[in-house]
Parts: sequence; C-alpha cells; structure tokens
Amino acid sequence: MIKKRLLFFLIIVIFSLLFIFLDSRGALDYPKSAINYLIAPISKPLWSTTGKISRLFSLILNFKNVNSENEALKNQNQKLLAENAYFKNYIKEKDILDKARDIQTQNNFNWQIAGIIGMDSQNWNDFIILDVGYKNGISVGMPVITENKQLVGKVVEVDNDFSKAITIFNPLLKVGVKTQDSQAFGILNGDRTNNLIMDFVAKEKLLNNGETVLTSAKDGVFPEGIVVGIIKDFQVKPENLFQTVNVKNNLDIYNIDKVLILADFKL
Amino acid sequence: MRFFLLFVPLFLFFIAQISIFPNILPAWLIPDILLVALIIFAFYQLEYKNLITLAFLSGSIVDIYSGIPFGVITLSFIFTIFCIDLLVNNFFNKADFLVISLGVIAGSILYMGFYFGFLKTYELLNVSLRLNSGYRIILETILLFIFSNAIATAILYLPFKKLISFVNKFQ
Repeated sequence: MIKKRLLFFLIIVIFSLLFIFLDSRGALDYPKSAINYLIAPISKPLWSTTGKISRLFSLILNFKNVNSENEALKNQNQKLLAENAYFKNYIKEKDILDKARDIQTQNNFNWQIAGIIGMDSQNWNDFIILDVGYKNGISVGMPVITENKQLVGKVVEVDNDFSKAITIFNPLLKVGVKTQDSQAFGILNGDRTNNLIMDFVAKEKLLNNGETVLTSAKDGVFPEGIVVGIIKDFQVKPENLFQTVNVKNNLDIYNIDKVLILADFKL
Repeated sequence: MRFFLLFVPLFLFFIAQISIFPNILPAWLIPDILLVALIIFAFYQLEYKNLITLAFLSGSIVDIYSGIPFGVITLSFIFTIFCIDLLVNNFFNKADFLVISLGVIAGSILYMGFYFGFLKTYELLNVSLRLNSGYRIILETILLFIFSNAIATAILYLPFKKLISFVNKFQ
C-alpha cells in the first residue's frame, strides 16, 4: 500500500521534473497560453470590478483623511505663497539697490530707499505715500526718482515714519527741464495724465520728436540729468512767444513698489 | 467525475486568489486557498491518486502565474500534500475543525520549508534569481503565511466539508 503510494508520488514528481525541463526549453509556452486564455475572460472583469469596489471603500474610509489632507495642503500652499512673495520682494529690492548704487557712483547722489505704501485717495496719481519719514532723514523738497533714474516727484510732507510726495503728473509741481540734444530749456508740469507739458521753450530752438527730456537743475530742486520723458510733439504758433512741447512719460506709478529719495546731491 | 468536481472549485478559488483577494486584502493576508483546500481534502480521506494529481495540477497553475521559476510551487505542493497525507494516515483518525487547523498550520510550515528549499536549489543550480531575503524576512513571511492560511481554514472549513460530502455521493 505504502509502496504504491510512494510509487505514484514518484511518478508525479518525475512528471513535475519533466514539466520543469520542458518549460526551460520553452515547450510549455502553448499550454501556458491556453490556460491564460481560459482564465483571462473570468479574472479580468473580476479584477476590474473588485478593484472598483475596493477603491470605492478606500475612498469612503479615507474621506476624513482627504479633508484633513486638503486642509494641510491648503495651509502649506499659503505658507509657500507667502515665502515666494517674500523672496520675490527680496530679489526686487536687491535689484533696485544694485541700480541705486550705480546712480550713487555715477552721480554722487545719496539716497534713501522707500516703499510706496499708498496713494492719495482722491487724486490717484497726484500724490504717493512713502514708508519713510523724519526718522529716516527725509525732509520736504527731496526729489523722488526710480531706480532707473526716472523722475517721480518730490517730497511735500513728512511725518515721523511716513512722507508724502507730489508726482510729476500733478499740475502743481513745476520742474525745470531741458531737451537732451537741442538743449532747449523749459518748465514742465503735469496734466494728470502721462502727457506732460513742457512750456516756455524758446521759439528758435529746433526740437525733434522722440528727443529725451531731462531735468535741468535750474529750478533749484531737482538735480540735473534725471529722465522725465521723450518729446511726443510740439507746437510753434507765430502769435506765441514760446513753443509748447508735449512730453510723453512712461512712468507707471501703479507698478512701482520702491523709489529712491535723493537726500544729498549736487545741483 | 469526482476529480473534476473537486478540480473546478479549486480552479475558481485560484481565479479568486489572483483577481479578487489582491484588491480586498492586504498582500500579507492573502491565503493560499489551494493549499488549504488540498490539506482539508487530505483530512477528509480523499482518494490518494486524486489528491496528489490535484496537488500537481493546482501547483502547475499557480506556477504559471507566479514570478518564480516554474516548478518550485508544483514540487512544494506535491511534497507537502504527500507529507500531510502520511501524517493523516498515521497519526489522525478524525477530521474535526481543531485537527484540520493544526494540519493546515503544519502543512503551511512544511510548504514554506519545501518552497524555500526548492528556491535555494534553483539558486545553487544558477537557474533562477538569487534568494537574497534575510532570515528575518523569511521568518516573517512564513508566520504571516501560516496566519492567513489558518484564517482561511476557519472560513472555508464548513464549505469544503459540504463539498466533500457532495462529491462523495458520486462514488
């Protein structure tokens, strides 16, 4: 009895070894494929269905976690946004400081960097509020420029920590200017748009459209050579003593975060 | 006839094992239902030739779907069932739940022994992948295998008992 059992067992083991040998020679590929063809039509839909059910259950079980995970991600996102804004601001400030240092080197200006923290609530681009004041050595009359050496205006009011500057778009601000190539002098004032008016320009001066207009320092307020704009057009009327020049200014006051206040300079 | 009546449920269980259990159970808890079924069949004194042939066929099918060299599982199944059959014939004369559970635990240990033994043989013969797992991982695998098979036995004991009773009617 035991011998018979052992014999049958050995036969099956030999069969198995034969199968292993045949498999190593690739002879079992067809039977294997046949079994696959037999199993696949049943196992595939079963796998898909149970997978869907399993995902549904795990979704239900994890719903609480999803909510808290979402909250955590939102918080992390806010934190990263704040960090990103900080670094962007830092880079921007560094860029401004680099340019300001160039201005200092070239023109022998001493400046104080200031952030624009507001604008006059009623006349949007007439006045700007700056985050520096007496404590920072700011006083009334100091010119305000951008890091690109473009004229913004001048300081008109100073508190301990804040100051207010009138911009070149305000008709009340008069700036002594000159054209770069034709050396025509005049007085510039704003009209609350980006078009500035350069008045009292001598009639005999031959101007060119596109010519750069700079501060002339003749007003005793602004140093020489600060960019104001370019000549858009000009009118020469026989009945007038002077010619009037329209100056186009590209300063976008809304897109400026930092300005330089010239604390010490030579006229 | 009896052979096919037993082979068909085994085949269906195998399909469940490869397509349903991986989706609903963690990997370490998936039992080897074919092994559990064959051990239970052995305890219910299934005809020896049928039992060994079933072990051979079941092992071969599992081998096709496994990632290890063909033959390791087939041989492990055959050797395990042979040993279990010897145990049943020499030491057990009843087949209640406790005895079968002990038999499944013993069978799982034997199976794992043969499994790693044959794998090692393949490695020595340089036929297959190297068995790089540390002893701790192998031990963990064996314990989890025993645990999951014991749970499967608890669940499948009665259905298999009924199946055997049903199949015996065709004798």
